[in-house]
Amino acid sequence: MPGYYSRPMAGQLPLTPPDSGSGYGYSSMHYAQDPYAQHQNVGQCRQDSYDYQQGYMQPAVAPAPPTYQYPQSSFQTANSLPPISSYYEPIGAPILPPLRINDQIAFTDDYQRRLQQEQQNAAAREQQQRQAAKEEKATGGVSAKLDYEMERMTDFVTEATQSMYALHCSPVCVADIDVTRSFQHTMQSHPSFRKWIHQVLSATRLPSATILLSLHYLNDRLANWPDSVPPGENQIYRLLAVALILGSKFLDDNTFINRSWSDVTAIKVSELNMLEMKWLHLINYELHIDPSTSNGLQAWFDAWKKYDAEYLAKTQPARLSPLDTNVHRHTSSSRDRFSPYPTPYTASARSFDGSLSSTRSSQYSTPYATADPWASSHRHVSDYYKQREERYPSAYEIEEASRRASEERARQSAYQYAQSAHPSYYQTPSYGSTWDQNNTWNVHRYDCNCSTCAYQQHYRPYPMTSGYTAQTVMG
Amino acid sequence: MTNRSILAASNSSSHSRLPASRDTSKSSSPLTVASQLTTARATLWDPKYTHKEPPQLRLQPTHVGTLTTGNRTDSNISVRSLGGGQKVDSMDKRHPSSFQQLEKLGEGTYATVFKGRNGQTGQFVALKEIHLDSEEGTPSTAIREISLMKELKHENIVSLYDVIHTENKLMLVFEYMDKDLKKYMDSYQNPNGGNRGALDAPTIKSFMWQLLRGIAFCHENRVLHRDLKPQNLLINAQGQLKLGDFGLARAFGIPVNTFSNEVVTLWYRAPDVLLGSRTYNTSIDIWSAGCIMAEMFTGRPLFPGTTNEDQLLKIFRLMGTPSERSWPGISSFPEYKQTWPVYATQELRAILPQVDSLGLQLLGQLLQLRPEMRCSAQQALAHPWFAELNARSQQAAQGGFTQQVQGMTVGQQRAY
Repeated sequence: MPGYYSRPMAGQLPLTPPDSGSGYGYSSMHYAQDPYAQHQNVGQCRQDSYDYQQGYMQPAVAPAPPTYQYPQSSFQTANSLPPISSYYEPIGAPILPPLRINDQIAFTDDYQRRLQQEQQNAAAREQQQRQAAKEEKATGGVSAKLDYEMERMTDFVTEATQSMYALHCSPVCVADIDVTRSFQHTMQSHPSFRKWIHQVLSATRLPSATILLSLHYLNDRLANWPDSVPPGENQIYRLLAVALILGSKFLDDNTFINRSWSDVTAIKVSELNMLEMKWLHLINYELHIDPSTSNGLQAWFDAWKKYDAEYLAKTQPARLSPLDTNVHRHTSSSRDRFSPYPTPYTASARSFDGSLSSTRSSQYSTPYATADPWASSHRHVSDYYKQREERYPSAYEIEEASRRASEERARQSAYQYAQSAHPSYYQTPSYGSTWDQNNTWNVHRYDCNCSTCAYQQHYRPYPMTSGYTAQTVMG
Repeated sequence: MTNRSILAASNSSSHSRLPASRDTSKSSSPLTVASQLTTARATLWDPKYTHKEPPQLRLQPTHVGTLTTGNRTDSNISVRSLGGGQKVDSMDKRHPSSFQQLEKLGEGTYATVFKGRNGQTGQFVALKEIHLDSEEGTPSTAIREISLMKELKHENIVSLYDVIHTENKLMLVFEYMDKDLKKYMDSYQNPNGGNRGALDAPTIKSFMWQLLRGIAFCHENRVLHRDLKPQNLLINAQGQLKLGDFGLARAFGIPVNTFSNEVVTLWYRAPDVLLGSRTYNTSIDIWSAGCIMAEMFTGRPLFPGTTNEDQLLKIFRLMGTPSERSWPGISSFPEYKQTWPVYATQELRAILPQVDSLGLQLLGQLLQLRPEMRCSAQQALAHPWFAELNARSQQAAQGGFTQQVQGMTVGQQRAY
């Protein structure tokens, strides 16, 4: 087991390496703790991580749909929050710039502040946007805004690496095999290996191109110099770590020193230095590759795109239920910035539903709804709103929306259960049921408007409270 | 040629090299750069264009053989310690002591450059010595410079002969060039008078042609130089100009989302980069080339700004302050300001009266505020201002000159 598991400093907030506003060059990120010890101080971590996200995400851009955590997976702690929390930020990526930690706003101020922000004139807003853009410029380095979904990329890297390594260990001539096409999706990933990859990727936040380039280097190394890989279980950790170092140092404008890589990978810095040097000698410094060569980098890009798309397709049914609750709760202006749909209730939010709506929406309207690749499959829901785009809704219409959403939801749940019985249904069913139990057949109905629910939702340590504030700010 | 065969060839060759590490596990990966190098020079050598001796088809591999000997400590694994070119007894006999270290040529942010002499051939080289930090590992600048320059073999790009990776030093062995363009201009006395530092028109035309050829080759090979300035353009006694210092260079064939905008020395930095663009492309090198061209005519930098903001204003004072009308989308740049003073566009002719009209036309195409309006290096080379040079090059092509260049380019495509 890698050394970092036993590190005692869990629960502290890891600092994001290259930003801190100090410019970069060689940023040093010295993690003194395991950023994945999320079960301690969960709320704090989440809140911060979400704050990070909202600080850098441009409102017009839909975030990549976060993946659910699988409750049954061994690396998810049992006492984690109800599944809804995982919509907001992939668990285990609580990286944020240290400067923003104290930026938290108490939820109670949220609504007031949002109102104020909305009253600001267009010029001030423009100024803010420019300011946001400048802040983003100051961070740079590892992507503040990821161009992929962390959980899925982790899965991809885990499977790809394990496939490559399995091929390497097998007697087959590896050079002849197109690794990108031979992933075994069903392969059980070793939890600790996946967790390690997740830790490395979350801490470094490399762009997808860098990760894919690194996988190409790794494949190249295993295929062309199989003899250079020392035998042993843990070699794959070292190989992947050095591949990522080389990819990042070659492609990224802001790179980490090996000390930082050592802190993240739990591999000694002297060993990383040595492996890096050895690798460079071996490939004769030929890192500048032509992406279009067969079985080259482009194949990795294609494989990743395919993987991403397949995953979305597979998880589509299970993802729909929260969308419906979303629709039902679609009474707050706070999430309009994120919605890909016309938002009929924008103008009315304040006047007819007051603060309660913002409370509820903080629970149910998730940025999740913005990632709409599956939205089209439920046209009547969105169409319903499109028809009413410009109108102030009547009480009847709200009631109607509520009813339709409930029906839709019931249908979804049934569908989900049917699906979960299907053997090929990849890992999602348990998620779906967990969700439903936690949220639908709770003591209060999921759409209960009573003050107890409002209170609970209000004080749940979900990250979206502060998140929505700033979303509006950015609007 | 595959990686494997390069390795195999080098292993079997007599040039097999051992890194200067006492850890024998590391010595299994010999550097093979030397055995493949300087084919460009060799293939491009043409008696019509040079009075130099014909180059050797293959460079004699250089080797710091002494570094493998056990009687040295890590601290003196350095070219410095090889001074005098004196042979060390226990040295590998096939590789006599390689480099006599001469004077320091310059000091950069991450490296020191010395002049050196190959102890065996007497050939001058430039030795770039990079200190290896145990916390940092191999610097990314070095990784890029080596991996990119290895691929860029062109008569207008400085050749990287060899890389010697030791325990705490990385030494890059480059083709020796007499001076950089900055020093050349400073020391230049124009026979026809004119400003101090200003070059004569035929020299400028030749340098610009060579500069653009070097840039075009980089861009064809998916490399952005990103730090073009007179200090990084090297001149030799034959009047050749070559691009050097690829420490900031970056591959651009791979789709990436962000580039740093902290690139290119301020005076030569393109306006879109100054405005905060992170999606720039080959056009940033073209802007730098335009600035350099103007500087060669006047002897003074065209836009000697002091800060990012000042730099932009100096550019606008000449090119006119851009607006959403002249540059759609400019207001979405991070550094866009509504408070800029509005300058009218100046005539280049008024600032650079010494440039002929065709030259001004080319300069105008290089110095376009909007990156998409700037011409490419290939287009610039086809400009009528270069007609005579191109014609000469064409003539040479009939003599097989260009054919060789093309052959070389093809030969450089590596098979993976």
